[in-house]
Amino acid sequence: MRRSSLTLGLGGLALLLAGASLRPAAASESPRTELLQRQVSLAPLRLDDVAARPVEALGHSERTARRVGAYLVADGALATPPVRLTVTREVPALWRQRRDPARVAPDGPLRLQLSSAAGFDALQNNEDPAARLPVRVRPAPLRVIARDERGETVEGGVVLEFDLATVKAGGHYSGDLHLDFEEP
Amino acid sequence: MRMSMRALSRACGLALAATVAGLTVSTPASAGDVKVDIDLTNGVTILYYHSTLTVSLNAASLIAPTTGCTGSNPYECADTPSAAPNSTNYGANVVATYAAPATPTNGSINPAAVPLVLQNVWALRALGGSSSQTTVRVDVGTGATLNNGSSSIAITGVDIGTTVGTLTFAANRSAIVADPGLGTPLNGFVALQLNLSNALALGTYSNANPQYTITVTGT
Repeated sequence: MRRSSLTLGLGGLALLLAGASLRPAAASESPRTELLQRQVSLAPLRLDDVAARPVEALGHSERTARRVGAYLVADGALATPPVRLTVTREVPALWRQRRDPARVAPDGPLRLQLSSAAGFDALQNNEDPAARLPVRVRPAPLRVIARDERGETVEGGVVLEFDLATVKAGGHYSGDLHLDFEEP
Repeated sequence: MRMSMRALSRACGLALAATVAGLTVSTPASAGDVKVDIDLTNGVTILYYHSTLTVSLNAASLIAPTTGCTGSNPYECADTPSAAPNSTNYGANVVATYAAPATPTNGSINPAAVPLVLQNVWALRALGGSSSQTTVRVDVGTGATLNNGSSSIAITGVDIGTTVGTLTFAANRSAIVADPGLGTPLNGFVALQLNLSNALALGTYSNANPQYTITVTGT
């Protein structure tokens, strides 16, 4: 009896590990965690994401012309003010989870991984496959949307930080965000 | 002995349950994929420019003879006179009329069409839009005549670009550049063709109206 109990316990553990590693179940198939969106189209990049105005006067410049070949050349520095090269988009409600408050669980997915054909942590340009848009992704703050004596329901999302420093191609960029959850 | 075994059994059972529960907490139990996309198609363009410029012109820089002269400023340009002309008596004076000394022009700039390149007077950040290129245009402004009392300097043509090559002057000129992105601005020049024929006095030549206008389109 004791031996049987031990065998069943190990068998249950082995089955659970195999299920998690060989065929990750979609979160929406779980009764406890569900994805609220399968596709997220983020707000397009706008001027006010990076700068205040499209034309910026830099004030006065004093120069002295010098002879360079057949021309007179008045050279000088042009100091352009910086712009915001990291643009943030938040998806506040991407998944929902029913939790037992008696159990300690992490505040969000165990793992967030964004990838595309352009590699990890980057979106790929649909029109120009060689162009990539670097992205960092992190969990958005968790929100409790319902609570009762049996537990609470929380919603979470992600924050995507796009690095525009090296991007020169406009167009549509896309990729896949993979989320792993602990099932409470 | 039996009692002891049961106790051991309970202990093992508790240990197993604890172990299983601990492993369950650390194992991802569900996963999902979300398609993510964003458009960089609206076009973001930022133009930087110097709103006012003061350029000092040294007249000596317009004249840089390469032959027949010594010195720098002033230049000393000796000319061998032609054969001595016959002298003519004008009353009590004897006048020998020579041909005027030759004025070396090699290397000097035509003062009626002085090309003045204003380097790094505009810069551009551009990403997205209807194409991957941006058009930068310059027009002669409404203040194309710079005045200094009765003297003046006229701007008779303009040109624009990012790298100075062969200049072509006209009332307006355009340059098409590849979008540089937003990270590193692309700097450019504006060239003015100056007519100094009526610049007869030293001093400051100015006009309150703009001498040129830069326009960016295409994104």
